[in-house]
Amino acid sequence: MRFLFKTSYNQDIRLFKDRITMGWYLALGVVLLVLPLLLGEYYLSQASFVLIYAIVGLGLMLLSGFTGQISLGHAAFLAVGAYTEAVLSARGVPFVVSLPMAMAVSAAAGFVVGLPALRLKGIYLAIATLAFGFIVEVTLQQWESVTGGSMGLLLEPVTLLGVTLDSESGFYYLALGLTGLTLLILKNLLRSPTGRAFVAIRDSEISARSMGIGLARYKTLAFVISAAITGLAGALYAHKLQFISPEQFGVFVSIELLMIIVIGGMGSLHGAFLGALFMTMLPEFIAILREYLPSSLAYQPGLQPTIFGAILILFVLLEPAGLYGRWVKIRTWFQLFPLYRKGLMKREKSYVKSDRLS
Amino acid sequence: MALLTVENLSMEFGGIRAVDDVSFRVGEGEIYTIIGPNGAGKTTIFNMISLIYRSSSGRIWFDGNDLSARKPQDLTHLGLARTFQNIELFEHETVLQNLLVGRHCHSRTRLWQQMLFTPATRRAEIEHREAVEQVIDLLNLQHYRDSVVGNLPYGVQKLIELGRALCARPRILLLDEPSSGLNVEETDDLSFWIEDIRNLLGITVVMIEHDMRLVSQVSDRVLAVSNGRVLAEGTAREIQENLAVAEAYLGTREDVA
Ligand SMILES: Nc1ncnc2c1ncn2[C@@H]1O[C@H](COP(=O)(O)OP(=O)(O)OP(=O)(O)O)[C@@H](O)[C@H]1O
Ligand SMILES: [Mg+2]
Repeated sequence: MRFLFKTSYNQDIRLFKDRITMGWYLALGVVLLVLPLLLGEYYLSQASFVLIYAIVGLGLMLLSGFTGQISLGHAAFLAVGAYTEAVLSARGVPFVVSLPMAMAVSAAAGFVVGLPALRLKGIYLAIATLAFGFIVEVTLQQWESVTGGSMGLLLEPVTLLGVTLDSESGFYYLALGLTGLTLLILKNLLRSPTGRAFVAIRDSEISARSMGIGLARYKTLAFVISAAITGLAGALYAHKLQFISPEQFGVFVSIELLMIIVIGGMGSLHGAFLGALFMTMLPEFIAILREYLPSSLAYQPGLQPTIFGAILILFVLLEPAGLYGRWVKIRTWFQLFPLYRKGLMKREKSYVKSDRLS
Repeated sequence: MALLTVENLSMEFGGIRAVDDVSFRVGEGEIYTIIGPNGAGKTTIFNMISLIYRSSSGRIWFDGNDLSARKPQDLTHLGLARTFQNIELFEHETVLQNLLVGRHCHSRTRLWQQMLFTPATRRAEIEHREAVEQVIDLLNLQHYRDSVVGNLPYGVQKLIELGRALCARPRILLLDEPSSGLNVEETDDLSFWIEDIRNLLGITVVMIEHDMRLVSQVSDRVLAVSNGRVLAEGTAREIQENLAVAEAYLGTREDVA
């Protein structure tokens, strides 16, 4: 077990707890940088998908995991980012301009969806965001002059400052850089007053308000930032696939995105990455599983959604803290060995909130 | 001039008059206590002052501002902070994080500065931290700084909530039953802290309290309410000797028994 001796307030503000932690993250960074040398085309491409999902996971985590606002329509923000990018890049707008614009359009959509969120909570907010998801999906199908309807749109590889990133590794580095940037900005926000305001709203709206946090401002802000980040991922996603169509942004995708953060672990940035990794690997596992199932079952169209659903339910019931929570437990077990006792991580129920306001 | 003026406040819940024409004034630097039996309407008065409940009748003035034109989130900026009867903390966060939220009304950095964590943001964070550390020292919370609030004993949580309100550096502090759930020793500490808050920090205190020993130790003036109405106002001793107040308490004791 390690003890931390703190000598300055800066220590609690730093990005990394201590040198050892920083060392681990540096090592991880190096591995990620040399990954294209280690992996073949196919797995590197999967790694890019993990990064894209991780960016969405970060955006959704900010909204649901840190601000407590559920969204069942996040695929729509992904779609807005992807289509904006597709339309703009087809008209020759350079990536350094079209990407911020994709984020801006998505942020504007986030602002609009955020408005009902000021009045709605829990299941009602879930329904409202779900409805938004449907509206966007239908719009993409019907507005054929711009979106190409169900025919979809084609994209070229990204050209960044004159260099065309048409190799797997080129795109991977672009995604890696943008993931790092997103993570850094979120980390900064979370150690600043705005991040604390988000968490305050999640834990107790009434006391957040009485400590001077305007709910309208911060809930809207959470939606806007979350949508902008998801729009960024959408733009990358569009270039990665080089073909987008409305089916790729349906309600089932919104649920998959939600699974990223639930399985990864609500309320932790690590969770967004673990969840993204898990969700990218899951279809591979299901493909392997298919070989062992009787063919009558293996090629049922509902197999994948059923397995996804079952896994989601299992996580919610058995490990609400997600993969990251499981990791923290394992780490604590090793740090405290042999002192670990069962129930150590359980929270004591110290008091009951009887007649809470609102 | 009074710092807080409450004039003819009334509030109805489905035909029940929870607060009925209540008026009082609290002067700068006073410790002012509201007492009354359960269901007397004390918390409702606090909720009206902190604008959680709104009623068309009555007015509230704080430091020359008419509060009817304000929103709940403006109050800490004006210099009014409160605690809740049933602790309302950010349970999943550490004590330090909870107290830092108390500094929200003093944060001046802009969103982009926070996103980039500019030197200005870092400086502001260190200032917030210093202010929080003063409160931690005042309330002896050093031991709990990095503990998650939800796991701490009730008495400590009460104290953290008081601390969070203090971090806002308010001019007036509303405390709703600060001693409930505390043992005798903790209540004694609390009475010293309340006096310190007034004497050292110069903060005016309005509190709702049941523990008459604490009330008579610290209060300059006491307001007794029952069934939403003001029964009497005076020093703690005057109130304790007041017949109407005694009757109100005995009356409800029988109801409860
Ligand atoms: N939100 C509400 N809706 C309906 N009735 C309410 C509400 N809040 C309070 N009341 C009623 O108003 C009356 C006064 O309640 P209040 O909480 O102000 O009492 P109190 O003096 O704080 O009592 P206690 O000592 O038990 O805290 C009670 O009859 C209560 O049931
Ligand atoms: Mg009360």
